[in-house]
Amino acid sequence: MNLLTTPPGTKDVLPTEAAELRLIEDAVRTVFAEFGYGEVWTPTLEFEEVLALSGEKAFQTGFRMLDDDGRVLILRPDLTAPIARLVGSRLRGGVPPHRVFSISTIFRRLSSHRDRETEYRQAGIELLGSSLPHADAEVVAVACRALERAGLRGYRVGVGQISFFAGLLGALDLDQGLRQRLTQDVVAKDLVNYRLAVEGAFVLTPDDRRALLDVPDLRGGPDVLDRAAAFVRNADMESALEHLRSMHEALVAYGYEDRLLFDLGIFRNLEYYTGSVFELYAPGLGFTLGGGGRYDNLLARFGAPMPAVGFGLGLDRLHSALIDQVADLATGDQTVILVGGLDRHVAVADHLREACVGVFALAHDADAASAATQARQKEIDLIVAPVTGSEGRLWMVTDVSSGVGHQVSTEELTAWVTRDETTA
Amino acid sequence: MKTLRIALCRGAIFNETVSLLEGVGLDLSEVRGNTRKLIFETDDGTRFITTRPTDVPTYVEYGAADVGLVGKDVLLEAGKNVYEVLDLGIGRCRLVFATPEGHDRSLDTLRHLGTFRVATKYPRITRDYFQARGINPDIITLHGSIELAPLVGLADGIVDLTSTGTTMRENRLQERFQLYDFTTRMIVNRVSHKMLAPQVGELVARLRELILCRDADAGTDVPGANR
Repeated sequence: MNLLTTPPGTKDVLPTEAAELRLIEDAVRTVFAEFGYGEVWTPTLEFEEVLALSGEKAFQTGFRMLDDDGRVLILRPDLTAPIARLVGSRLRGGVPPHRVFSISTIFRRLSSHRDRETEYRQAGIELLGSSLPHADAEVVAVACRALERAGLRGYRVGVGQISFFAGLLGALDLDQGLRQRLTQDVVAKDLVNYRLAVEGAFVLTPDDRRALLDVPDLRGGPDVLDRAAAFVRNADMESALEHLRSMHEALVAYGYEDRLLFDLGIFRNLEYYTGSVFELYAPGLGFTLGGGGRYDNLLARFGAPMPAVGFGLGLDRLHSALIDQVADLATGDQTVILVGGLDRHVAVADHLREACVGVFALAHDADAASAATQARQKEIDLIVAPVTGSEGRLWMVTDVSSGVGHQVSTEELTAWVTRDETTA
Repeated sequence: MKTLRIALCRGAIFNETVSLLEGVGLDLSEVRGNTRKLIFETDDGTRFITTRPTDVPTYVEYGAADVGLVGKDVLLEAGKNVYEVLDLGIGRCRLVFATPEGHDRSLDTLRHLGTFRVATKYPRITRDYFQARGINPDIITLHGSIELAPLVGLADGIVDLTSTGTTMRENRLQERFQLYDFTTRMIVNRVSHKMLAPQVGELVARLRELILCRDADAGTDVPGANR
């Protein structure tokens, strides 16, 4: 049976999970549309050399193959690079800002550093052509609203600002080696080595060392913004902080201030992000749900220089966070098993379908036991079977979980089945 | 307020880590006393999980524990995406390259070989270390008694932990050079580091203070003590 397995890091999705994932996806899609984001689809396969322009790290773990002309193709390893390519080609003549979203499957190889999924669905938005902090705030607000619409409770958004730390490094006039080491350490989350490097840097004044140790450790509520002010040493740091303040004000207006954790210790891929960064957290989930930030240099690499901000959300992770909170993600769709719906009573089946009831049709000679087996396997709650001798005028509607049955006429059937849905 | 879930290693550093946590006021009397139970909960709700050292980074990465106390050797070998926030300064041990006594198989003499065989419990650290120096050794992963490998011709040398060097001497192995000097670290899950920032921050601050006092008493020169 080993022949029938799928590659490591991939999975099959069966109807119940698919319905739940679809529900989440629909909620997210609706929110994106409410904010005026337009859906785009990009190819699953792209030319490697084109996406390589992005310099995104995820790119290194992409699946590659050759086409007939020997050109290297890559399976889409992230959502942003294809959209940057699309903006540089298809939207080049347009007037910014552009608001686009995509919900797609992305692919990354397993490695010793990544041993989980190779294929997963992401939902992402990009707001292109605005450098206003209010654009960053909108993107965070869209993320919050999408999580809420999907039904997630207790989530938080960590908001950081890479250019504040970069400004500090700039102000200290460090040599290239130390600068690189400090940056590497914070990105690797190795705060022990970082502290060692800072404490060993005797060219720095005690005040400088204090600042290097304290800034990445600033986290909490909006008070972080006030505490950070004490470390401002140049115009870069001032404007970085001002950007965060404006974001905060805007997010208060959206009603999301309680969701925010300001954190100057969030360092996402620094090759990519240039300003604000954020991460989405769910209680009880050890991984981030997603994240994003401002990447003002990326679009220039695709010939369309403009500021940009966006985020990506892992739909499978959101799904597992939701499952932790709600035992059953009710899809709201009623489906019944209709004995005879396949052959003798097609009209009755279609009548139910018109009333938005899903019908899993069985042949008229299906016995009660096989109908019950099907109900169990397909997780269907109601079995509808014609009453013997009634010639299809009377129906027995049985609730599978309770075993209770009700006899109704054909005319009453739709009303009964849909009524049952609302009281269930 | 939500309390922390802390993963501890059952192993060489167990007693030292337990003492350290007791030093900052946590109640680990039950953890200390009962060697069969795996999960312990104190009156204030703090939960302790005890497991084998190599599993601690996994528990923390997946968020099954918020915090873990584990050796840097294990951490470096596991390569997990977690915050490494504090050097606890305990469980000090050295990772060294050793070969049978007599033959001088220093790195320079080995460099001319296309490859040579190294037996180790730390395949990843060993490979990364040698590759960074332009050498591509043939790594033989073993799970215990690494010293045996060069004695029976399974490997040219070993990369292994040593504290006193006694085991190596008894097996007529000679340390040629040191790869790393390891201590025990406190690691934190990426999400707990943010969602439970006050709790994590307080534990770090208390531990840091305790370590500074301890090192000051011992008069040792430890990085971090010079401020």
